Amino acid sequence: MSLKVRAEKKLGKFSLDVDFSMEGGYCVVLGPTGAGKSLFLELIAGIIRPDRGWVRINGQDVTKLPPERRSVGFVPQDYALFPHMNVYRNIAYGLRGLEKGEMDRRVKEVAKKLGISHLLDRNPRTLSGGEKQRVALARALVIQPRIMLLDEPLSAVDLRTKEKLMDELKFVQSEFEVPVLHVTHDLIEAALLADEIAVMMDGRIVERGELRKLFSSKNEKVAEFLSARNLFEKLSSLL
Amino acid sequence: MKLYFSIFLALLSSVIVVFIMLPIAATIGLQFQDSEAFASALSDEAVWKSILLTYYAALLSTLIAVVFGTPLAYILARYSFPGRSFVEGIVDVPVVIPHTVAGIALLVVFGSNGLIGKFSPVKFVDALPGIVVAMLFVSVPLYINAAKEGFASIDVRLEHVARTLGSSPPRVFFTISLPLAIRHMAAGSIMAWARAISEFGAVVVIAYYPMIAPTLIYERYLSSGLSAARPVAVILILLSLLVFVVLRVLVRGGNVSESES
Amino acid sequence: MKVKIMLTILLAFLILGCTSQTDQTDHDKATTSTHTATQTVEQQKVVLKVFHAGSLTEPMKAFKEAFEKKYPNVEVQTEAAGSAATIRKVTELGRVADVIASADYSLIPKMMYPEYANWTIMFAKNQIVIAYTDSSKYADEINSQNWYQILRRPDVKFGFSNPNDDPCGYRSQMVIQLAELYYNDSTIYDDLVAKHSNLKFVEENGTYVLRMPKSEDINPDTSKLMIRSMEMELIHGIESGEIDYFFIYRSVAQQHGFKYVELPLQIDLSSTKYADFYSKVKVVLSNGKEVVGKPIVYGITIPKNAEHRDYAEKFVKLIISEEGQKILDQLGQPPIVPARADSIENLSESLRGYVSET
Repeated sequence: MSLKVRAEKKLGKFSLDVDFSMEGGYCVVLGPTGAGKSLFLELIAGIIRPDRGWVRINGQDVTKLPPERRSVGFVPQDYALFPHMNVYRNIAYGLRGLEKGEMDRRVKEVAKKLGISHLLDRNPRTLSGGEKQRVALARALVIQPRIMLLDEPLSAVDLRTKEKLMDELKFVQSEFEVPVLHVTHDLIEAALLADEIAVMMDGRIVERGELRKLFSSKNEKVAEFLSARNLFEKLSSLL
Repeated sequence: MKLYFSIFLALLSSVIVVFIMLPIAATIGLQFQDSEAFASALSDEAVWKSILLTYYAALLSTLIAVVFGTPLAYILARYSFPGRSFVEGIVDVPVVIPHTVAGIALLVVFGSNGLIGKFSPVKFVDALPGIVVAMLFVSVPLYINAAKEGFASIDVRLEHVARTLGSSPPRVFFTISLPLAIRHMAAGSIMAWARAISEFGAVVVIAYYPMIAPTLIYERYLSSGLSAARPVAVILILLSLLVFVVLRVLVRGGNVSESES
Repeated sequence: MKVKIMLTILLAFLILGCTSQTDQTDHDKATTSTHTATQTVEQQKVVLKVFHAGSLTEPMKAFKEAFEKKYPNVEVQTEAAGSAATIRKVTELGRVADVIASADYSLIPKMMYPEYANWTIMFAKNQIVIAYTDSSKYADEINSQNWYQILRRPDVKFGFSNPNDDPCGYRSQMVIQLAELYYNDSTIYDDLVAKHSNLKFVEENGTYVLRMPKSEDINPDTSKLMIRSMEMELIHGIESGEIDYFFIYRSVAQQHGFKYVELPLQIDLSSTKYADFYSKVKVVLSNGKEVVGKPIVYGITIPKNAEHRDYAEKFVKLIISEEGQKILDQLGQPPIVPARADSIENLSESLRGYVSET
């Protein structure tokens, strides 16, 4: 699998100008709020079109394809579960056109893998944060996407849940054998999840590689953004 | 301090509630002192004919508003395009035009020699279609604005996710946007329908006949005075109140069951 | 948001601008907003309220102007409506008026005596004409002899106001029925009205009587007849080409610049000379009131509960004075000179000098 993006998009005063590629695994795009991370995912999903440039998935140019023909799994911030459908219908939403038995089988299979079989009749409003995430993941995974796009998936949960959910995300990536592109502003997430990290600032990918490499970045802005490292040192000295 | 504020709020609120209720209650109350006239109005076929016609015409006007207004409401809620504020302004214009003027403007368009009336096989003046266009003109902004608010309140990411799950824009509209906006649309329809029922000024210019209930009430007042007009008005008020309460309960009922299931 | 509001207002003005020339009959709302504006500036002003018949709108405007020039501390607020509705505002809705002017003087004694008024001054006449425009069908053919032949033609549409609501309406019926007697052609009313509605004159002891059904049962064939509550509302009809002709007071036709056919004196309800002939027709309104054909005479009174009786008297005096008569004349409405009053003993001193007793 490969994803290659080389695109520009202007939105008012903000401009996104990215040159990015990944070859599978778990990639985290790390950047401060307002860096253009969500926009970047929307560009890949096809929700917005670039002014210039292209998006390629597995070598196929999808720049002009609408989202429904790109086969990407998209999990927006706060999960965006359909509030008027129960969990089952949320997961089955992307399986239109399949024969009913097959659809049922696929929904139950993904639900079982994610441990949400007992939630299928529930209304999304009644789910906990962790359950919501699993449903959102199931809904995206059931269409067997070529890549999963996760927008700040852990921003709304407490530390304890976060830890559990991170394990799940890792599990998803290996169990479903799907590459994951995860954007976040949280250094811990990036550090614990990523095979590879890309740092995004002001609409550009400014640095990429392993965590260690980033900390020795010569880019002043990156260094400033990562200065939270000091916090970790203080924290660990306390323990 | 908190108590004072509560009292302050309650005082101002009750003033406005009483302001609305008093004239209606007085009209109905006075009528019950003259139950004979009320009874005779109840058995008057012309009264029922006009009320039925009013409800029917208002229903047609509301259906047209829903069919043509929903797409517009969706566009206004979802897309920004050059001239959008202009279109939004146009939609609100009927609210600020005096209704007699609206009636005259409609006559210019739908009259036998009007821009559209000239070519239309349908006759508008002094006919049901005329009543419907007059009602539509004054009530459609209420529907469009309610539906627009409904669509705007839907998280746009729901629609985005649905797209990535393989749905074309029309399917997203019918499976996500429409079901989620339906309560706003229903509330807007009720308001538009109610507004249509109460319209007099615009309708009477383009269609004095066949007589809708507000025209009949005015007519009774002119030819025979208040005592003849009031029973009809009271019947219209009570009946509309009933229909309203039922519809509201239905709409709210849908709301409750959804949030609980 | 601001842009949106401004656009809305702008558009509203545009549309108002397009139609406002035709909007002169907004009954019950005739007080214009400019008046209220000046009122707030000068709190001291006396507000003189005049409720009047719709057909008096133009003369009232002129009277108002003349009066306010003479008494700058007074603001005259005029309100137009059908004559019966005008009186009902005082007798039923409990509103206070300083002056009441009706297109049929007899409504004042009938509806207001003795509780609300005790005198009526008859100050102007009028006549029924058939108004039309250049684009009316057969406009170049119609005249005071062939008018009923023209109206008979199947492709001609014409209008009159609702006889139940408006004196102009029942007077129009009288005119058409009188035409049958005058032209000695007993099919005129049938062809023009009876065939296309539930209205019908029946002969009873030498008088021709039209018993009005309730308004909702008039059931006009709307492809031939246009009926509106008030005569002024028909103006939209003729201006938009909906109808070709309508029955209206001569004064209104002239003030609005319509062409009009004057009918023979014997039938147009203008002349006291033919009062006997007019009385051969009678209309019984749906509320039971009977009106017998008679010359059109406008009446004016000051209600007993008027707030500014002194100025009201001055206003009435202006109307029946030479100056008022001139204004009426110019607007196509013949004044009665001198004005007549039904019970002079109830008039105040200041008005007695201007009237003769009937």
